[in-house]
Amino acid sequence: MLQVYFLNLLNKHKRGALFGGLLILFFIIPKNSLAQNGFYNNFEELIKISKTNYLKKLEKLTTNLSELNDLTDPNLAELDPDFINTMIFYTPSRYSALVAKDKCSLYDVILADLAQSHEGDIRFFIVRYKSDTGEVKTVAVNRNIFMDKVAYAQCPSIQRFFQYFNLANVEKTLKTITLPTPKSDEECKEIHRQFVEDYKTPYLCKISDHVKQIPRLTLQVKNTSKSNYRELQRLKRELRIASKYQEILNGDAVDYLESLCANIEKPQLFCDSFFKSSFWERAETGEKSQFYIYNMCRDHLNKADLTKKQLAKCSREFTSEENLCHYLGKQEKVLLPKSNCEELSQRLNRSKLYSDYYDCPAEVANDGIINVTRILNHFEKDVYVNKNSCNTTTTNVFARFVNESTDGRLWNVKACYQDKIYDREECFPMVYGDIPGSELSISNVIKRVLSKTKGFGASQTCEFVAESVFQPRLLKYKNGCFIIYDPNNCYGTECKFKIVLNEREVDNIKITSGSNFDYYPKDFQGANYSLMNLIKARFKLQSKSIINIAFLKQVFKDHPDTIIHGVACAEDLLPNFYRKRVLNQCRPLPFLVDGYKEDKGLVSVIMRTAHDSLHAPRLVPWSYLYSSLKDYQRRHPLNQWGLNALFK
Amino acid sequence: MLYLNKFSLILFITMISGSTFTQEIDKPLPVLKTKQSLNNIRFISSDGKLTYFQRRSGDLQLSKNYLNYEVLKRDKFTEYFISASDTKKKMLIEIDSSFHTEMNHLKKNEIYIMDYGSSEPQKVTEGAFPKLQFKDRFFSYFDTKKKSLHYVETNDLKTVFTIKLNNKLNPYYVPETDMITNYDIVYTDINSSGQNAILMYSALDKKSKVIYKSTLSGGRLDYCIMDKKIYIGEFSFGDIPNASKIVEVPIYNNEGFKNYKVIYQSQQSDIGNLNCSEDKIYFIKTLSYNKKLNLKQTEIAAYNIKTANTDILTNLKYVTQIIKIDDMIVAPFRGEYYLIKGNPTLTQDGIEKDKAVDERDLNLE
Repeated sequence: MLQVYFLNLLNKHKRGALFGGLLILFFIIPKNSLAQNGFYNNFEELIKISKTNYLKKLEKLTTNLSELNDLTDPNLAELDPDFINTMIFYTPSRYSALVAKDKCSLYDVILADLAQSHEGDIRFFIVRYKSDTGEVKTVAVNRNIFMDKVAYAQCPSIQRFFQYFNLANVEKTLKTITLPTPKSDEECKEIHRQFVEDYKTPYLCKISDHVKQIPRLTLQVKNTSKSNYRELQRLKRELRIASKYQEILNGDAVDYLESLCANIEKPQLFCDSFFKSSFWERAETGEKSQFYIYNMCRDHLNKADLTKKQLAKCSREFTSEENLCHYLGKQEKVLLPKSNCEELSQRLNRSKLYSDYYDCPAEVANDGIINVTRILNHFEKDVYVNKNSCNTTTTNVFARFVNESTDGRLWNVKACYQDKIYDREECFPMVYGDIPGSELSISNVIKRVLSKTKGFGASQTCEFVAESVFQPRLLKYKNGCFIIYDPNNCYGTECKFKIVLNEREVDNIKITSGSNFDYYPKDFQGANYSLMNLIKARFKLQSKSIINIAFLKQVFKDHPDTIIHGVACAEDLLPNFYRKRVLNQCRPLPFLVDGYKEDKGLVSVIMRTAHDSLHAPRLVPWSYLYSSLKDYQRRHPLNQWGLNALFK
Repeated sequence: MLYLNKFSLILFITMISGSTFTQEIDKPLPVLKTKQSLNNIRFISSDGKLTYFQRRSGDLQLSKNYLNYEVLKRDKFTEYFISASDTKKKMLIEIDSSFHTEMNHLKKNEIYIMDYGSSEPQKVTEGAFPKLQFKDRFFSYFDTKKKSLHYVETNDLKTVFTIKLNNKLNPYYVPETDMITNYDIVYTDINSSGQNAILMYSALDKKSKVIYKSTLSGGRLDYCIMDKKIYIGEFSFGDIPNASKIVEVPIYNNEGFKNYKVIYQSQQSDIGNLNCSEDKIYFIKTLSYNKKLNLKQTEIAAYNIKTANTDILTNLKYVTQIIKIDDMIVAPFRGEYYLIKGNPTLTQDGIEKDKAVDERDLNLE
């Protein structure tokens, strides 16, 4: 890596060729084998000789520093090969990729003080050039002369960049730079590639280097005697600059740049820093929604409400104890156990599905509704979480969507009465719970029906109460309208309840329940009413069938925000949870996929089935997914392949 | 009744190429083949003489002695699941009439019962996962919403026992259960800490005793019963990488079930799904595990309790299920059913006879 650009320069100079070749050998041959052959010792010797020669040369040239007054054409000046070799040797290898672009990128790295010589910062530059008399000269120049007369002349843009990042302008400049957070490996590597090619990156790394030095500088300032005034002032100045950079950057940006600059030549390590950092800490600090950690933490600490300290405690413990997460978050009524905390953290770091809320799959008790609503919420990104009646967080969104998209045929949860004037049955759709402002709230709907049938007043209200709460002997329940339900028998599309108005049970309201719909079309006549087609129409989405791993990878590459949804047989999809008992058994289970992991050509997808918590994705091997999709396809009337990507 | 035409079903066993098997596999594994698409078949007897299959119209039909009988008539797209037991006196049918339109693992389906080989079922109740018990004198089913197991006598269809599960953690958990006498029931449950346990319920004193409790977080137990002993597999739910083991517990003369022995152990997280038959425990064994992808290479294995040897029987790489149909043990995998245990002589005899009749039927067309 280190040699790419420098070797181009070295090739021009035969004197440096041998040294460059040895350098390559040094990097590609394992040190053990070199040592075993006695070659390593010889190589060390060679470096010593080379260094001695270089220092002799430098010493000789610096006795009479040049100001390049006889340089007529700056383009005919270049850095001396021995000087470049020394710079290669002492500059951290990670910056080699930053200079590989062209000559100007090398000057950027020098300007940003990332390039080093045997004495640390480069004070003198050895330059070869053709003088006005036509003589080829090799001279030493100081930094300013080299920059003004050679570097700025050859690359005028680097001076502008340098100014953008000086202390006076850096704050303004940094405001124009975004540090994007990747959501997938591919996206991350693309971001990394763009940074490597960006001429600004050396300056960003310079800032990062400064900030990193703060603890060391602080200690040095503390330990330096006041008598050593000059050194103390230098250290204080450096500390001031570093502190100023730190003030401008927030903590996340500091971490981001540190990871980027440490891994310029290692994109995978840079990306791992996103996907392997603790997701729990990110949720606790507010970088990610606290929904991800809140319910689990409540369960873990057995508290109804949580303080910041308690959330921090959970974050620490989830990060350090991997088995802790298995049975946490049970109030969400999901498939348990969840995966290990560490596995969850890694998957959530890559997750793209909108999950800044929670739902309760088993309380809704309809896997199709759960999956469809999660897709709707992903594209709407605006969810009201009903803490009092969790199933309505889902059903209110679903019922509203299907009622707006169709003539109401897909949502059969309704309160009906006989309209005596028109002699017909009138029905109003509703959900089993109350959501502020929703006309589908059961209390609003029952009130509406009672106003038609019982002369219920406009100012009167109904209350949806659990039967354990309703105490008819208490005065507050003597008058008014109460909808009394059994919490153990109340689900998203089916609920046992009775209506009591002024201590009398109301029996003239007919309640219908259920919601039957085609997830995928099962015949050609009903295709327009399949939920998948309705969702595509609502959000103007494109859809692509994912038939193999290549398609899967391509769709995530082409459309990083894509969400893949589908239906498969649960027994093949999650065989450690669901067992087949009879011939051709299949229990369809809808799911969402929002990422994948790859290893040696094999792939597993990051999936939330409709039974899983929104905040606990599972890793399902492609092999299981494929088998379960084939199994479902064999049962589907139109041989539907149940795996489709949705994107805008 | 209708005469069978070319769609008549014939069960025969074909030998598939042995080239893909490893050295551990001595003989190539037979694969179940039927003349009609296997996708439509819901039950087939091990001698191939009895086949229940469903039509696209939603009907369930029985094919027996080369005649077709209508068993049930339902709406289009209805799905049927049929089970029997070794006793072969009764059969159970679970009907999912909203298979495509209400995807809901907690819904209750209609459950029917009939005599073995009959075409006249009788509706009994609503629930899920019905199973014939104790010489077909009882059957059990699971109430997915109330989380309770119900045991019904097959002669008068009265519910005689009900066991309410403790499980409050996993709403999608489906327990295993077996009646080992008129009054003793083995079943699985999960406690409030997430520990999976196998219990024995005695209807006489209406109490449950723990036979074996998983000690692992995320541990999953399944079992099978053979010769007055219960063989318990301790595996894992989901992708929790616990080690695996099988223990043998005598059912009788075993105070507090303290007497048990570990007969099989593996550091890998097996899928399990134990099936006992003739001194062998069939289960799904994990041969290797790629943690990064949560990918297991799994095969059907047979543990011989006489020799204590474990043989790998398949070379399918990702097999995940093993089921018992009539007397056969089969491994469903990507549309094929691999015959793990069955009587090839009987079925091969059937092929010749059935083929001849089938050709005659075709000539009638």
